[in-house]
Amino acid sequence: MHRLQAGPIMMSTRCMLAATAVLAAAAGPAAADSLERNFAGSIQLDYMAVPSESVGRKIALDAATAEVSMKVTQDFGDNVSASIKLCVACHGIEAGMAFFDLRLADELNFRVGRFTPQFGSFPIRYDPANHRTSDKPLPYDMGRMLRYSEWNMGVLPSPWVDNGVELSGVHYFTDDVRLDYAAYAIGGPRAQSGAADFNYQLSRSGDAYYVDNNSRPSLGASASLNVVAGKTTLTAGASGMFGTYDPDNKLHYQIAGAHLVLQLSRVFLRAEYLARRTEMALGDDPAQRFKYGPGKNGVYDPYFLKSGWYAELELPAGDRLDVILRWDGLRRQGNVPRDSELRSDSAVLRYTAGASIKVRGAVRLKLSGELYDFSDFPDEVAIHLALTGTL
Amino acid sequence: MTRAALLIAPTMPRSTHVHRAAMLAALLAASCGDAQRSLLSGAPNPPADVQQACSLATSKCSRCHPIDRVVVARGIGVGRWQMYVEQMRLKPSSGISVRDADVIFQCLRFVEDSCTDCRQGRS
Repeated sequence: MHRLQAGPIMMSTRCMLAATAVLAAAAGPAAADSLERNFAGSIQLDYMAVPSESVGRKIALDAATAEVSMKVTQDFGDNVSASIKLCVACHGIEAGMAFFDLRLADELNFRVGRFTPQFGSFPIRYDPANHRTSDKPLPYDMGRMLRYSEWNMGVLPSPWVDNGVELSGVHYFTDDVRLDYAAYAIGGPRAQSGAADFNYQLSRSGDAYYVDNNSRPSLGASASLNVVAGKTTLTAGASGMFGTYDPDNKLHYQIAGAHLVLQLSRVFLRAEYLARRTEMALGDDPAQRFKYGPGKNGVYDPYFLKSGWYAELELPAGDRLDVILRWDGLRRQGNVPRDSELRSDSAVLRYTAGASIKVRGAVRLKLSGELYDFSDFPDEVAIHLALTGTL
Repeated sequence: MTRAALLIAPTMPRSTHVHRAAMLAALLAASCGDAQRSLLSGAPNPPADVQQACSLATSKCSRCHPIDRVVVARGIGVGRWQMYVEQMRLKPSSGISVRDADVIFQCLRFVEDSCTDCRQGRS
């Protein structure tokens, strides 16, 4: 099974390396002097304990996990580059990046291949060596939250890696005011026919092939305004994505997000809000399929709304210590399948206190404690201890 | 459980609020210094303009990643630092202006040149 999944990925990577070599050769001796190759990597070994449960595995992917990423970027002169990133995590080996960039100007960059489209603020820092907690905020959770299966993870798991094309750029109004923007077309999330939510496994399964499942791209865009005033930087942005996610091209979804980042010298206050409206297949007999009946008009509402948010304060204290305080949550409103343990309006709130401590070089120790406050389940506690390093 | 169900703000005794606010204020005070963190550690007598440049570099770089990532990359050569700074400037929401990029590069050039233990030209 693992071999089947890894096969296409490794083939893609080999193809990309081959294409890179061909392009390098085609660039000729004149361009050879300007070829630059960069390597970057990171690793995080995390141990999550759930002391409020005798066997944490029943509600979470607890205990030890490893996340490794290795990235190579090859520049072909000033305008063209190729990047490849391999990631190893709970889901095995994945190609986190395999794309070409063509930058014609600050205002115009074309990206084509497999990449993480621009959405919100956190995905810029999704690498575990870049964000200060062991896990991600709940709106972007990719399986490390407690009760991840009941909630089907976050609103838009990060990093969202997909095939497609992205047009992006940055425009400076003044030296201190800039606008970042992007628009893209990607394969989009997937599920089986007659689904009631995304099926993330289909997005990373070689059995389903790494191609669009319904011949219709999902479209998205993002824009953010950055204003710098002395040692203060304010970033405000909005993102959106929409499309269909089932093979029959019938089930629609829309995701919207807003983010705000305030930097005061070395202190960061980050906040994001995401909401996803997802259409569910009602099937031939919705009364048997869903937990709740139709509305007052006698019609079943085929949509549910899943929203998520976080506010995070990052306080560097001295040369070696960063303190992190985070409040995040998820809420799901709408009908649920009959076997779901959620209700028509369910929520989870999480309170996190953490620290990131520099050990030596780029090796850091991450500690965090999390209190989960579920509306439908008993409250839980999780403790993370992680070692992170970068190359 | 109740809080999540109702999505209401938690209620705490006033003294708890005061203690937490005091702790937060102390942390904020400790965080708002102008240190360059470890970018200039080990560098002998950096000039004042380099110290200022590295303060800006620390501030900008740490928006997206710990400054340790820069420190461990020393030894890649000045040319690559110039390229990296340009790439980082163009990252979404980097907050790095063209002028900032020049200042950050000034810092990194000093850091690179003053790193006698670094293996030059590594990739």
